[in-house]
Formats: sequence, C-alpha cells, structure tokens
Amino acid sequence: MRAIAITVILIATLFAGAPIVRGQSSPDGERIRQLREEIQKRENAQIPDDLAELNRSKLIERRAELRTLLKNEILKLQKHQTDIANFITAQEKERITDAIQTYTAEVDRLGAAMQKDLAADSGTSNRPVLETTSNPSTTSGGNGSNPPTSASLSDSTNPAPAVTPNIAEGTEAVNCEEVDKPGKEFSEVDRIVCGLVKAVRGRPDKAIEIGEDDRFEIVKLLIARKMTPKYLIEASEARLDKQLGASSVNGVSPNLITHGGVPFILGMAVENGGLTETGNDTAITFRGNPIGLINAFKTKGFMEMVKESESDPLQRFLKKTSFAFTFNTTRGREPGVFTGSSQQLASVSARIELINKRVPTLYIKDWENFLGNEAKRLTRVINDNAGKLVDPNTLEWRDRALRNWAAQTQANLTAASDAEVSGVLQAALNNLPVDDLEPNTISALTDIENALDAYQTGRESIVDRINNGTVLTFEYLNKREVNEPDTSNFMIIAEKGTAGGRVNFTFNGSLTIFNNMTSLRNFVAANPTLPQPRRVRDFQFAGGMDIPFGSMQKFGKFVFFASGKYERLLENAIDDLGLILPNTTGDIAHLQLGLKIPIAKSGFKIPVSVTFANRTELIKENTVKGNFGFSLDLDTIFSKFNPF
Amino acid sequence: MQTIKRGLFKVSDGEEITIKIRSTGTKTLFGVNCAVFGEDLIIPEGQPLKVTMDKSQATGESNFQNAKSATLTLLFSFTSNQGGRYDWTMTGSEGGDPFTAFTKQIGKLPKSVTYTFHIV
Repeated sequence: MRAIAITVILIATLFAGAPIVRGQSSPDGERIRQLREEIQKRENAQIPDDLAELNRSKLIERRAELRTLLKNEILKLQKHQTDIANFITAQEKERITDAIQTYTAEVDRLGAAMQKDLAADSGTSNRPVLETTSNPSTTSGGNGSNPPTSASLSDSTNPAPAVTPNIAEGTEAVNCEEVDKPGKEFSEVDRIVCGLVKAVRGRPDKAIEIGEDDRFEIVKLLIARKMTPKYLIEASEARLDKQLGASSVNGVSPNLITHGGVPFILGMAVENGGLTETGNDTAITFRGNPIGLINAFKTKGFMEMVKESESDPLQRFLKKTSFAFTFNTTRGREPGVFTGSSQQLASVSARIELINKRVPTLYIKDWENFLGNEAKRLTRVINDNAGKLVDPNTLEWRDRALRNWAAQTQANLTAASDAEVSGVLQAALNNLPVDDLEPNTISALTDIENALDAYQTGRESIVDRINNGTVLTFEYLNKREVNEPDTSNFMIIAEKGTAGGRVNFTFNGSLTIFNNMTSLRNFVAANPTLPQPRRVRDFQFAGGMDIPFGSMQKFGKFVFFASGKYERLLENAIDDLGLILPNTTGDIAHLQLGLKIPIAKSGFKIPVSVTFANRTELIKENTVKGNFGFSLDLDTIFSKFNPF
Repeated sequence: MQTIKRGLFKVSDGEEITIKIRSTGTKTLFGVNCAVFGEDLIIPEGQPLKVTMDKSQATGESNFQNAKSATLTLLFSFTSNQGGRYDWTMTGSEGGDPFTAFTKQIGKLPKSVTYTFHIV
C-alpha cells in the first residue's frame, strides 16, 4: 500500500515538475510553443529586402529567448531526476533522457543559427540615417487580453548598423569584483557598468530588463558616452581623515599632525624617523576598531558589519572608539627586527569621538529641500521622456540603433557562459551606438542630462556639507619608555573639510604629564643644580591640511600635506638613558611638507615628507629631516575578500 | 493589476495602485520621488504611495483595445556613499499578484525605474 502511494506521489511530482514532458501547458511551455511557431514563420517567410535585416534581428531575439527557456527546461528535468533519485522508474528515466536530448539538440541548432545571423549582421555596411521617424501610432487592434504585439515595422527602411560585440572579443575593461568596495576608486561609469553586469548575471535568462532600473542605467551610460559630463566620468574622492600611523605625540612618529578618523576594522603603518627626538626609530602602528575586529573574526562581511553597527546602540557607541598599539623596532633583544614583544611596545592609545557633524540625519531639512527641487525635477523629466525613449507596448527602445544594439547584446548574452557575461556586456556597453542615435533620442537624453547635472550638483552640496562637518575626537596615549618616566598625553583632535572636499583641515591640541615622578625627583636630588621637576611635561598645538590631487582611475589619489606644530617644553628633556639634560626647556617649532603616494588601488600608501625644525627636544640646533614609510588600510583588503 | 511583463502592467480605469517602499540598505536619508500623470510627489518614509489610474489623464499609446498608457517614474536618492537599497511592493485594488522589486545604490547617482500602465 505504501509502495503504491509513493509511486502515485512520484508520478504526480514528475508531471508537476516537468510540464514540457507532458505537453508544455505551463506558461513557459506556452511561450516555447509560441516562439517555435514565430521562428518557423520568420524563417520560411518571403521577406522583402528592406525588412530582411530587421527580421533577422527579431529572429536572433526570439531564438535567444527560446534557447534560454529550453535551457531552463533542461535544468528542471535534471533537477527533477536528481530529486527523485533512486525512486525513478526506467520509463521515467527514458522519457527524461529523450526530452533532454531533444532540447539540447534544439539549443545547439538555435545557437548555430544565431551565430550565422550575427555573422551576417556584422557584414552589413548600412549606415544610419539621422532623420526624425514618426513614432508608431496608437494602435487599438489588440483583443483586450493578449499582450500587445511587437512594435511597428514602419521605421525599418533604414536599418540601423549592426553593433555586434563578439563574445570572443568581449573583454573586461573593469574588474567588477573590485567596484563598490570601500577604498576602491572608480568612476560612476565603471560603477554603472558593473552594476548592470551584476544584475544581468544574477538573472536566470541573463536579460537586460528595460522594465526595471536597467533602463535608467543605460540612459546614464548613453549620457556619459555622448555628453561626457564630469560627474559621470571622474572617479570619486578618497577619504582624507583616516589616521593609520602613530599619533604625532608618540615620539617615534614622523607625523606632525594626528587625524581623527579610524579604520573600520584595522589599519597598519610603518614609519621611519621620529620627529620630536633625534633618533631614527622605526614605528609600526596597528590601529583598529574593537567592534570591527570582533566582527571580522566572526567572519562577518564588511557591509553586514556596517549595517549592524548602525542599528545596535552598543555597536554604535563602540564604533566611535578605537585603539592603537605602536611598536618601536629599535628596542628589544633584536634591534631593527619587529618582534611584537612588550619591550618593543612604545605606546598604547585609545580614542573616542566626541562630536561628529558628519551624520546625515543632521541635514534632513536640506535633504527635503533637495528632494522638493532638483530630485523632483529630474523625476519629472525622466517620466516625461519615457515615451520618447521606450515603446509602451513592447518596452523596446524606440530608437532603431538602440533597439538593434539591445537585440544583439541580448543574443550575445544568452549565448555566453556565466563566466563570459561580464566581458560580453562590458564590450557591448562600450559600443553603445551613441553616434547613430536619432534626434528624438538625443533630445530626450539632453533633457535628462540637464536635470541630472542639476541633481548631482544639489546632492553633492548636501553630501559635502555632511562629509565636511566638524569631527572632534579625544585621545589618550600612554607612552612607554625604556629609561625615562612613562608619560600620558591627552589630545583633542578637530577636523573640518572645505566645500567640495578639496581640503581637509586638522587641528591638534595636547598636554603631556609624567606618570611617575619618583625617578625624576631622585635624579634632581642627586643633581641639586637642576630645578624641581613638575608633573606637566609639555603642551602642543598643531595644524595641518591635506589636499588630494591627480587621477584616481590610473594610480589612485595623491595627497599633498602641509602641517605646522608648536611645542612648549615645560620640563627639561630626558635622554634615552634617563638623564635630565639641563637648559632644554623652551619652544620648538616644526614645519612639514609631504606627499602620500598611492600604490594603484591596493590600500597601500607611501608617505614621504621633509620636516624643518628650529631644534629638537634634546639638541638646540636647526634640523632638517626626511621621513618615509608605508601604510596599509586593511579595510580595503578585508572588503576585497569578504564583502558581504 | 495584471503584470504583462516586468515593468508593464494592465490596470482598470479607476483602479488604485499602492506602492510601499522601504529603505533596506546602509543607513541613508530616505529620498524617493514619484512622477505620474504630470504630478510630482515626494514620498515620505513609511507612508505608502496611492495612485488612482485615471484613463482620462493618460496620454500614451496602447495596443489594448480602447486603452491608454501612462508611465510612473520612481527616483531613489542616497546620501550614503555605498550600500543603499530600496525595496518596494506594488499592488492593485482590483487584485492580481503583488509586484515586488528592489534597487541597489551604485555610485553617487540616483536610481530610477519607470513603469508603464495600460489603463483599460
């Protein structure tokens, strides 16, 4: 009884899961039947010469669609066969095998026919005629229930040129796995192209959906290729506010200024040439965010972390904090070799963000004004031009060149393997027929571009205000010395950007105290000519600016930086043997000029700088010093391997 | 509301279309605009958009008998640098399957989708 029940269920499942086998009565089965019928008619019809090319184009489209549907049917059959596995009967197996063979043969035949037609299209030499063609007139011939028929053929007397990006020639100009990840610098065009690649690759039929947001993305690309507006072509700006290296008060850091921003996960910097002391120590700093690191160890994706930290109050708080450990490699048993031992640990620091005016919710009023003006106008312009660009009955481009481009691109995508999709689509998008567009299309694109330009300016103005808002950070740094007393430094870091993000200004103010006075007092007791030591060692003020420049797309953004620092040394300096050097109190001024050189989109940067000072803490003589190092933003690397 | 294909719908004259939109990606200020029948609307966060499909206001061509077509454009804006996303569901007052879709932020520019309605 149980066996009979299982058999009944299996048969029911087989017939439910394989509609093609039982006569193609499902929606896909019906569509397959229609396509076969249409293809057969188009293949056998006596086509006037004027319509031959358009007919061929439609045939490519229909064959591509049929091919996709048949491939889906094959997959369904194979899945069904796997699902029922050992329960399959010989009869069922035979029927499935036959169906798969039949479909496979048909898929191959369709592919061969498409390649033949594509080759024929590539050989055509007709040039487009840029003339205004009447749009298909309103038709009321439908029966009220069937989908509308295809577009009018009245514009086919001047067939548009074939734009046939060959699959074999489909090269990937942009590595789409890299786009849209933090720290990566690509133009809007690259991002749009890769967005389309990802969308198309994620669809079972690899279709470009004009009924979805693909349409506006292609419109943007047409605008980019035709009108080359800056906001689409140029790469986006880099962040200037991340501090990866040691704090400037560290002594081993070559930086005069300390930035407030921190990496979301972890940053590392190797810097040579301490400024405030005379040594040429090498510092290695690891700076990170506790919540980012914990999540990273939990193998969470970068975007997942960003989202969670926004919704959880504890994570939101922890995101405002960071820590840093700086190691001095000249210390320890093996000077010059980084061992990570406690002997080499030169400082430990923690910081918290006190004020952050870079939070979007502070700018809601501005945003609403923007939505009511520039965004509203753009929406209206897109909607008003929708009918000029796309046929409302078929959702095909009205423009002949674009329609042909779309048909052939779709055919190529359908014939492409999953691995080929990116290359094929990128090649096609690089070959948008911008020189062959009809005046109506150009007029619509111009309208949209004007509105988009105004939109972009309005949005940038708000985003600039957000990104350039004031950030105030407090940092505590515990500096661990070998023979000198340890010190504590309390620093306020303020940052403010300028409109357009062109320059980022940073201000530091700090105070340093001795942690332990005992050794100092003992030393002074033994040297009574020296004044009694006080708790406060020094105070410092520093200001600096960062100015990015250069091409982001080729090399990444260079950053020129200039900074100045004033230090008032209230107590005599102490050398590395713990000896107090008399008459070393006083004022110290520094000026630093430098360049951060990016290593093309890798997250690595090489800062090189030269520093002028009226004296050092230990020697009252003018000095000029060169500094170099490298920094690595591990956020970039992490997001590369574990983005989501 | 009957979905003919992605982005193409058949609706009855007077049918009310409801669109519910949510921001589901990285935190961004909610920014959705809509244009339909010559009107421009800002959609407030958490409030569904209701549009009555009025054939007398539609001016587009249609292959359906005695029908007119109209387009409805949604524009999605982002203040975030990346990771923004909006999800939405569209339903018709006279039945039919709900239509769901989403859009993901790509770069700084807005995303947009235009739907075509054949009003019979």
